[in-house]
Amino acid sequence: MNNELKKELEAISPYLSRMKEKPEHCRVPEGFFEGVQESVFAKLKNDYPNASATTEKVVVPHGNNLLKRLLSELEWIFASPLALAASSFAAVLLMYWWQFHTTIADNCTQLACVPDTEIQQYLEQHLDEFEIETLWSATATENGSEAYIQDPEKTQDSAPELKAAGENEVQQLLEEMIDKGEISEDDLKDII
Amino acid sequence: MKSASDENILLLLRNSATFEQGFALLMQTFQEQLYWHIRRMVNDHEDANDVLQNTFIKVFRGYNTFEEKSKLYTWLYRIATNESLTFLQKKKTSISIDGEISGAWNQLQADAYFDGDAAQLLLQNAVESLPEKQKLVFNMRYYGEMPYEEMSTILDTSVGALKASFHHAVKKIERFVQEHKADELN
Repeated sequence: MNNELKKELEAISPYLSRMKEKPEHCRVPEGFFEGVQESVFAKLKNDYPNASATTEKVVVPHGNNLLKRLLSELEWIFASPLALAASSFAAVLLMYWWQFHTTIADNCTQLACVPDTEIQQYLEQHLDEFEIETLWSATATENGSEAYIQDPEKTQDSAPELKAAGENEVQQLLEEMIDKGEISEDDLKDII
Repeated sequence: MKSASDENILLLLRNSATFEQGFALLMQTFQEQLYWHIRRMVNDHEDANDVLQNTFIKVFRGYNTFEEKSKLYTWLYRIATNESLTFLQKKKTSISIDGEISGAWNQLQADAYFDGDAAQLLLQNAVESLPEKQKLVFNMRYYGEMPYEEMSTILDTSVGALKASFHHAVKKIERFVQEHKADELN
């Protein structure tokens, strides 16, 4: 009997204090406590065959703090050294993967990742869908792509086939087009 | 291993893969304490065994309601106490509060696992004569030697009220014993 209880009993009931000194008068069958677990599990299996399913739960320790909930969920990781090592390795791999992809994404934005030949091919096929002015202004900011859609003056300088053609031949061609009605003189003035 | 800390048990219980292992450890750790708590309430060993098993089944099935705000031990005691009281209400033993010895006396004498002498049998019957809540307080304090603060958490009652309840219970028991000793002598 602990001292606190002994003092309390002596003060209010010496009879009960004396009785408390007597040996325990109740007993249990031999080996009773060894069999309790087995009996409970057997009863659970019989009475509640799907009992284990009802126990799956999310414990919310100490309120609804999200961090505590997450830590609680992850506590099993710290339960075994193997799980801790495996999860650390997985975390390093994940970080490496993330960094790798972020680097690629940073270096590879929009048209910069598309090969030049592919862009050229696309623009040639879909030229009608763009306004020439827009393309010029867009390409003015793109150093590498200027060669494909350029100012007409630059194009004239760099296009060997047009340079090779004589001025006479061009004039003759234009006159023929005017004669055939393929182009008006006003349109020609606008072009020039 | 005889006992484990709350933390060890809870760690296993939180994970569904180790839940059963945790539950087995919980039973191993608390079964004796809970058994004696129940036994003092219901007296008979077979009844105590039934109530103990029902308590553990309630714990198993209702673990998701345990929010870990209190000690595991406190939560288990609450369930065991409620189960014992429910059992007693169902059983409706023929013990009357005015001290008439009837069912309890016979029950204890018939219990193969009661080895007490005449004085202990009389004391046990005096305890049985108490109202259920008062009996609960008396048992937890006198037999369980539980501090009032712990009892307060389990029973959700103030320490002052528990002290007063225990004091009243002791006085009633003394009166009961004196009266029935006199009866025996006559």
